[in-house]
Amino acid sequence: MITALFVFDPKGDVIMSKIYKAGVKRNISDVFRIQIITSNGNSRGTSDLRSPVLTLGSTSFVYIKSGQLWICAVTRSNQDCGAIMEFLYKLEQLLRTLLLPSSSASSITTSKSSQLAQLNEELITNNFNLVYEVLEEVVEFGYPTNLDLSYLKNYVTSVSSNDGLFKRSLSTDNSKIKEYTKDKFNSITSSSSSVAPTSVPSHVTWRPNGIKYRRNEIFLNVEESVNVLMSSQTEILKAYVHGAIKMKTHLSGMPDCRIGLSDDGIILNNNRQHDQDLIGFDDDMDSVNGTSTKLEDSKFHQCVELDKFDSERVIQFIPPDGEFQLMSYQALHNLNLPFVVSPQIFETGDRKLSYKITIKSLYPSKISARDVSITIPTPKGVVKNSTSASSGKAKFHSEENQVVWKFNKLFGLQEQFLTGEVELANESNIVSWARPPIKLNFNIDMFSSSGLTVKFLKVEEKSNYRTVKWVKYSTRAGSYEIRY
Amino acid sequence: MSEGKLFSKTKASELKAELDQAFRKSKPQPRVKIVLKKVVANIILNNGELVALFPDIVQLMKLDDMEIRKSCFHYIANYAHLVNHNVSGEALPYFQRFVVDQNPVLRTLSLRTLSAVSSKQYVELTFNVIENSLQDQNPYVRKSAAYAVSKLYQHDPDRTIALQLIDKLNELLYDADPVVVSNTLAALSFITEQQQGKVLTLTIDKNHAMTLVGFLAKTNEWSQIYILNSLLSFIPQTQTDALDIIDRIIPSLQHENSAVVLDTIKCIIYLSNYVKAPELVIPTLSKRLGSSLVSLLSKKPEIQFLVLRNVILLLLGKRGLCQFDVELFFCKYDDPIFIKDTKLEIIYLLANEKNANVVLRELEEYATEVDVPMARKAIRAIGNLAVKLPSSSIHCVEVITDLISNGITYILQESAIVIKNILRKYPGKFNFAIPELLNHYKLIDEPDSKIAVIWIIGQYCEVIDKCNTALEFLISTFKDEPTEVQLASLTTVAKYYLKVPEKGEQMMLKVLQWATEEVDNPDVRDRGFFYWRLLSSNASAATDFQVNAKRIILNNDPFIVTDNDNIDPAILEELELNIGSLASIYLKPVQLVFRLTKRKQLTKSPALQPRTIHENRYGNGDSNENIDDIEYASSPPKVPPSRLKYSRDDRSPSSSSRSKFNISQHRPSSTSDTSYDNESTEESAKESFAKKLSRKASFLGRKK
Repeated sequence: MITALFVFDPKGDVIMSKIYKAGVKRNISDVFRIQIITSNGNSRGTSDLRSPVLTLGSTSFVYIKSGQLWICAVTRSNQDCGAIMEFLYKLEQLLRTLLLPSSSASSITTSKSSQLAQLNEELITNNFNLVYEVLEEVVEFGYPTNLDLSYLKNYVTSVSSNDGLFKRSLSTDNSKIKEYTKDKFNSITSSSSSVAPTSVPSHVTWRPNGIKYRRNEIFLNVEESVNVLMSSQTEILKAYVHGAIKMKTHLSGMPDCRIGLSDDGIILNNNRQHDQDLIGFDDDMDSVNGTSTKLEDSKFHQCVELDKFDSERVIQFIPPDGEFQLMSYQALHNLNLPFVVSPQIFETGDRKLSYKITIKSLYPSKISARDVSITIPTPKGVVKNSTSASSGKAKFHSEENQVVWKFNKLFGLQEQFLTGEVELANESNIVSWARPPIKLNFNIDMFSSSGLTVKFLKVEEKSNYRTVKWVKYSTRAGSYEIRY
Repeated sequence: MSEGKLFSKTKASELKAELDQAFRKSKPQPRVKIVLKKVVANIILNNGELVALFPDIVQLMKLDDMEIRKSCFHYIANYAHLVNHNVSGEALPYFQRFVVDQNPVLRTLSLRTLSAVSSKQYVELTFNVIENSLQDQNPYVRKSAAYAVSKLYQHDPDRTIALQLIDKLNELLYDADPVVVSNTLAALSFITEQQQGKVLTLTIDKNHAMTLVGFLAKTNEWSQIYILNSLLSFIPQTQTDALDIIDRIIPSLQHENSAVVLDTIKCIIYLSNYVKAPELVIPTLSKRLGSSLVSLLSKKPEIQFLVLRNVILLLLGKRGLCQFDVELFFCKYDDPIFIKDTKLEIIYLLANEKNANVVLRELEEYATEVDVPMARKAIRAIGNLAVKLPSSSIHCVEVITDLISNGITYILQESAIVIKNILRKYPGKFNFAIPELLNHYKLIDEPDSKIAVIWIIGQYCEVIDKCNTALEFLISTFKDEPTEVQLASLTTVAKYYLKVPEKGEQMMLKVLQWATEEVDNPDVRDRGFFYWRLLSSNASAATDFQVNAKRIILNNDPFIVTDNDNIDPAILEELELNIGSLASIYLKPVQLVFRLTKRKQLTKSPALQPRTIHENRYGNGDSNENIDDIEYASSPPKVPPSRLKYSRDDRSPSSSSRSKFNISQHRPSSTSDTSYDNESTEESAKESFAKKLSRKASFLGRKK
């Protein structure tokens, strides 16, 4: 499937390479550098890539960009492209967990910083031995076999020399479990260097045996991002919520977890009889008038027993240790959209525009949104501007050609407005202005835009311990665009 | 100390010296490890010079240290095939010992390394030990042994078959450990994919298929991928066979890994070929397939792209099996261009009478975007929609004329082409768009667009006001134009002359002269002479002005067809067996992209349903193609689906043979008759013109 794998630094030098099987020469990396990296360097910016796959003859390059690095899989003939792409992203994630300091790698605590922290060439070269060994272990003869951390712990020997690495990846801000990590870590090193590892436990490849915690905790975060496209008449052209349930588990033994969501009778396309109506097309607007949550589709982590979910609508799983994403889902109907923005933008003269933007918050008045910012584009070449807002701060940024209107906190059921005027320089004109959409950003805690709630969360284990459970909801803006 | 310092190219001699130094200490291990790290760095950096170290590295395996041995394995796997037999053979005794070591990790790693080297002695040794390893008690070893068989097959296929290793590999399919089974499937898939030599195929019976499906819930994502792929080797004999499996794998649509989802869809689509009317047997299927694909659009752009390409594939071939809301494919402002492109194609495919309004509004939005290629594609899509959906055509044309009125050049170029297509599809219905376009004739400069405008003028000159000026302007650059534009100009001027002789005469003469005397291209010259003869030979016939020439030149073009909805079903069938693969990105016949791939096709069985070309066009009631559209589609053109493109040459040989048939039927009678009003003047005009022509012709003839 994968013939060779390369990691390139921004200049196009190979900083990691692994040949998995015969079929390509090593200097194939030059082809990639010339065809993709160099030509991309000229055009600047990743969005200009024409296609994420390059095929030359029978050889294809499937690649992703991670920060400034390029990770590229070389493959021959027609192969499962989906599997290769997934592999590249999973590999990137794995390397991040292994190489990045835990505070930024842990996605569950601060989702924002994890997006900022990227792999870079120093991280790779400073740990090249480990990375090479990981590459050796996760793929066999070109076929990805297992990218789970708990599996690798058994087989990657570099741990003993880079003892910080696994420890760091496992430790979290919770200091209580640090000592445990150390214990576990010791047992790993001893087992991998001399004694044979206990053979792979039956089928739970993602969780090793014999995990012990003094305090058993389970954290569950429901994170949603709202994606909206609104027309200038505040009419919603497209709206969907993409959500994910992320978990962090500190549980001993082999716990069996069960989760129930909102009203599990109505979740998901359970509506077998309802679907029959749907074949008639688009009349589903009537059927969702109720207040129920309806998830369009959901995707689960490999630990979830999918057939159980299909038949009994219960999410049942033996979780991996540490952080993971339990499921992701998509909701289309009955959304609680948190904001409505109505823009009025007029040309008041040849080179003058006047703005009136109103934002209404629609969530309950008790909760508040953090870091609300509304980015209002202006044409190029603004020479004069004035803005006044009923609340929050508005500022014009000349280099980005936009007005940014910010609130530190915005409570529900409010209405705020901003008026402003910009004047353009003589040589600029409004006609050629591309009118990029107004964009909205925000974070709201304890609010779920899809209406999804966790009804129960049960943990069962042989030793019958007590588990502390934490559930958190948050909603943020995905791509929230308003045209005008 | 940071490892980064070790990451650089080093000379072999330096490394050797460092090794020697290490062994002078009482405890060499720590020093040796540092040297080995440098070796690994040089493997990564592709330093060929390290070959010289082979004997020294092999010696290091004596040290009983996993980390050291591992690094040695890395080295051997990369360099053993480069040294000569005597030297590389030194490592073999170690391997012989390691493959039966107590430690399963060492057994695995040594087998993995040994089988990876293509040198003869290594292959030999692998053949000797492989049977043992295949029966190892540890699943981790058995898994690697399975892959080792594939490697052996790569090195020496004949011997692998002769030693019945393939059969032994088959036995591993009944292993108790699902991980071993799935990796064995992966290893087997490598062998069956090979085309050279003996072609091997895997077949799986129902019982085994059910067992494999049972493993899905117990294995990790990668294993699931291999299992799902292997299910294509199961040939359902009855409808129930297929339905049973579909039922069991449907839950996998909800896996988080997009490859698992795509492979599940591939399996379901494959199996549904063995079910009669699958959309009726499993009514929820189309909704589930649709929503599971849509939810993958929250993945990274590269994966989105792959998913979108496969959505197109499904829409082309299995529309009845997947249900989508068009709104979900509307572009985000910051989608990468390759995603926007693909979404646009999907929007076009999903457009129907019901959602036409929403779709058009969205397309209009794209058409005014700054991204020029995107805007042009959007306009093309609007034009194609007008052709595809007769009832929305008026709306489409309004949108286009609106866009034209802004006078932006790139919009004009594209609109010209689009309007030409619309006029051809609905002759006489949308004449109001013509003046709108011709207001800007001076800005139209791209060959294709120019051809379109020129064609429109020729066809509609009687309803255009400033026709003469526009045409004069457009042909003023005749000599510098590309061939196609010259040909189009010739034809149009001829039409113009036939319809409005008094005004067209001068122009006709001028163009004919250019075409025959000043253009080097033989096609243009030939057509020039052809018109010349045609127009002059008729001069003596007093019955009616240029009656023969009119019959030949002033005919109607054949209908245009939205032919890109029709791709050769055999190509679609094979692509559907390759959902999620690289070929699905290109949406071209698999062998065209990857010459060496083995051909995949549906295996015959009593349950296999015949594939009908248009099964889905009428099937689900939302396709409203007029029957006229597919009049010529009964033999679908075997072209790769270059989407949203018409074949723009209206006068391809095949179409002209058809056009004869259309003359009497579709000729717009009233308009073309206007030129007969002034009989007397025309008579004289005709005569003099014919004279001039014949004079010219004879002059030319003499010259030659």
